[in-house]
Amino acid sequence: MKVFLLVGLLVSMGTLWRTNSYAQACCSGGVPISSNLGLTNSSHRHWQFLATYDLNVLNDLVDNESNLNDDSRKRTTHSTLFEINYGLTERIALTGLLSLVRQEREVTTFSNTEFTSAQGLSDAVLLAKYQLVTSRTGGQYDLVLGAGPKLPIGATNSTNNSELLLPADMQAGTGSWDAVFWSYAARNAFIWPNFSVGLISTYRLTGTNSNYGGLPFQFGKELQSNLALSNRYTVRKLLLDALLTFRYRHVTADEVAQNDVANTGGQWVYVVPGMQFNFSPAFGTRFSGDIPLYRKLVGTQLTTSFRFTFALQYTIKPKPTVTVSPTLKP
Amino acid sequence: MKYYQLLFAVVLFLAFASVSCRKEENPTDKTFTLPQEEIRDGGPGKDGIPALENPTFISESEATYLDDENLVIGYKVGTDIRAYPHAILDWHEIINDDVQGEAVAITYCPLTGTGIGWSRIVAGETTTFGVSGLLYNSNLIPYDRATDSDWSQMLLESISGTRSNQSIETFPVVETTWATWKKMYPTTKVVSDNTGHSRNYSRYPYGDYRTDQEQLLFPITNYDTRLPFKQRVHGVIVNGTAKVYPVSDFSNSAVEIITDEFEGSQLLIVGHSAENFVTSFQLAVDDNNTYTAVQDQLPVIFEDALGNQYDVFGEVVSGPAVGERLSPTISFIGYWFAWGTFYEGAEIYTP
Repeated sequence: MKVFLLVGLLVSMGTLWRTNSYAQACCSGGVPISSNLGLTNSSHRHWQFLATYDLNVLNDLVDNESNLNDDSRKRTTHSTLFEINYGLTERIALTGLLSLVRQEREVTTFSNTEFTSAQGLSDAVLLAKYQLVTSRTGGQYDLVLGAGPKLPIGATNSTNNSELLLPADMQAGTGSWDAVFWSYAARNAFIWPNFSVGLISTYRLTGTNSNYGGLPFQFGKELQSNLALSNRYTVRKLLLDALLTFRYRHVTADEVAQNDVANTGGQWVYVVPGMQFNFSPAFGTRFSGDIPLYRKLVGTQLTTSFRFTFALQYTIKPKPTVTVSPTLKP
Repeated sequence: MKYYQLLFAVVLFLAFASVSCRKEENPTDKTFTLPQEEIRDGGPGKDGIPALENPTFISESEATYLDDENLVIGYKVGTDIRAYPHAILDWHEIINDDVQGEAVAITYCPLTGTGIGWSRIVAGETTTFGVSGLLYNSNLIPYDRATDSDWSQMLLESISGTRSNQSIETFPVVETTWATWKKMYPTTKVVSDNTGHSRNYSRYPYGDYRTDQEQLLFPITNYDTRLPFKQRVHGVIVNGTAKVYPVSDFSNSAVEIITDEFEGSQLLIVGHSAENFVTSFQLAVDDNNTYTAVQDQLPVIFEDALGNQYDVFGEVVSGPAVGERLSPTISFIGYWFAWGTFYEGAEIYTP
C-alpha cells in the first residue's frame, strides 16, 4: 500500500510539474526509452518498480566518424522513467513505462549563450513478456521475449515562448504509434559461479506522425543491443554487482514526407561501466555511465559525449498464503 | 516505512526535482509581422549555424577544396573581386564582409537555394547578421545584431523587432560555377576553407535535397507545381511581384539576351545555361539602345549600339561610357518552389 501511495505521489508530482512549466515540451526523439526497459520478468504476482534518472549530454559534433573541434552547441536530456512490471503467471508478465523528460539546447557564441528548454510527459510503452526459459527452477539460462506498442501520449505541438513550434526532437512525444520488440537472454554462473552474461535487445519499429507542423514526420527505426557482463561480490551483508555493458545502437534516418532527413541516423557503440548495490532481495540501486567507443553517423550530428544513469529497483512479493487447518473440537 | 523505502522516495524526489527545477531561459518573447505558425524553429538554434565575420580569402590557385562545378556567389567592387562558395555558405549561410569599405553580407539559404547580397547598413547603422535558426517558408531568417530584429531573406524585410517592416538594401551578385567565375575573373579571391570552424566543406550537408525534386524539409504556404520544385530560376522582383527566368532555358552554347517588360519595367536579362549564370538589369524607359550578346569574352557578355561593352555586373568596361553601369534589378537565383510560395502566381517567362 505504501508503494502505491508513493507511485500516486510521483504521478501527482509529475502532473503538478507539467502544469507549472512554461513550455510543456520535450525531446522524445532523444528519450532513452529503448535503453531503459530494464526490468526482466516478474514472478507470479510479483510487482517490480524501476525508477531511472538518465542524463544524456550531447556536446560532440561528429562528421561521419570524425570528431569536429566545435563545442559551441550542446543538447542535454534529463529523463525520469518509471517502469512497472507485474507477473501474471510465472512466465507471463506485463510492463508499463512512463517518462518525463526535459530537453535543453545551448548555443554559445560571442560569449553569449542562447538557451532553450522544454519538458513534458513523454510517450508510454506497454509490453507483454513471455519467459521461454527460466533459471528460477535451478537452471542457468533465462530467455524472455516481449512485444507491445509505444503509445503517443506525449504532446507534439509544443512551442517556445514566442509561440514558435519546436523541432520534432524537442517535442515531448513522437505523435506516432510504434511497435516495440524486446528480448532478454542470460546465462548465470557462466565460467565461474558469480559471473553472468546477458543480452538485452530492443527494436523500435516507428510509425508516422501524420501531421507534424504540416508535414508527416517519422523518427528513425532503432535497434539497441546490450551485452552485459556482471560479477557479484559480497561486502559484509551487501551484494554488489560490478557491471560492464557494451551497447550497440543503430538508427535509420528520420523521414519528412517519406524523404530521409539529412544528418540523422547512424551507428553507435558505447561501453557502459556500472555498479549495482543490492541492499536486500527487494531493493537495489544501480549507477552506470555511457562512454562512446565508436560512432559512424550519417552526415554531421551533435551526439552523445557521455551519459549517466541512476536507477532504483523495488520488488513487492505477494504475501504468503497461510492455510489454516480447521480446529477439531473434541 | 523501512529505511530503503524512505531512501527510494527521497532519491525519486531528487530525480524528479532535477528534471523539473532547472533554469528556464527561453529566448525573449517575439512577435512577428507574419503568422507565427508559419515560422519554424529549424533545429540548431540561434547562431547554431555560425555566420562568418570577415573571413580569410585565398587565391584561385589555393582554393583546392573547390571543384569546377561548385557554385559560387561573386561580387566585385572595382578591382576587388571576391567569390563566396556555396560549399562554405551551406554550413554558415551568412558571411559578413567588408569590401573596399562597403559593409556587405552574403546571405544564402541552402533550403531555398537563394544567395542574396545585403547591405549591412540599416537605417544608417552598421550591423552584422547572424543566423536566427528560424525559417519562414523553408527560407533563412537572418537577425541583425544591432537590434536583434529578424529579417526574411526572400521578402527582403524585417519581420520582428524594432526594424519590423523595414526593407533591406540589396546589391547585385552573380551566381555561377567556380569554373565560369575563374574564367571571368582569374584574379578573384575566394573565401578560405580555413574559417575558424571545424566543418567538412567538401561534403554537401543536406544529402540529396538539391536534386530530389519532391523533397521539402519544412512546410510552405503555397505549393506551385508549374515547374519542378528544385529547378533553379532567376527571379526579378518589381513592385512586390516576381517574374522568373529558368536558368536551364537559356542557350547552352552562347550568351543569350532577353528583353522583356514586366510591371511597367523594361528588363534586360542575360544568361548562358552551360556557363551557369543569369543576370538582369533594369533599362530606363527612354532607353532606345540596342543590346546584343557578346560571345567568348567573359566577363564581357553584351554590348550596345554605341560601342559600349558590358560585363556580367552591367558595368561598361570598354567604349565611350566606361565606368558607367546599368541599373541592377532586385533579383536572385533560387529554387522554383521558393519563388512560387513567396511570390504567389509569379510569372514564368516563356519565349
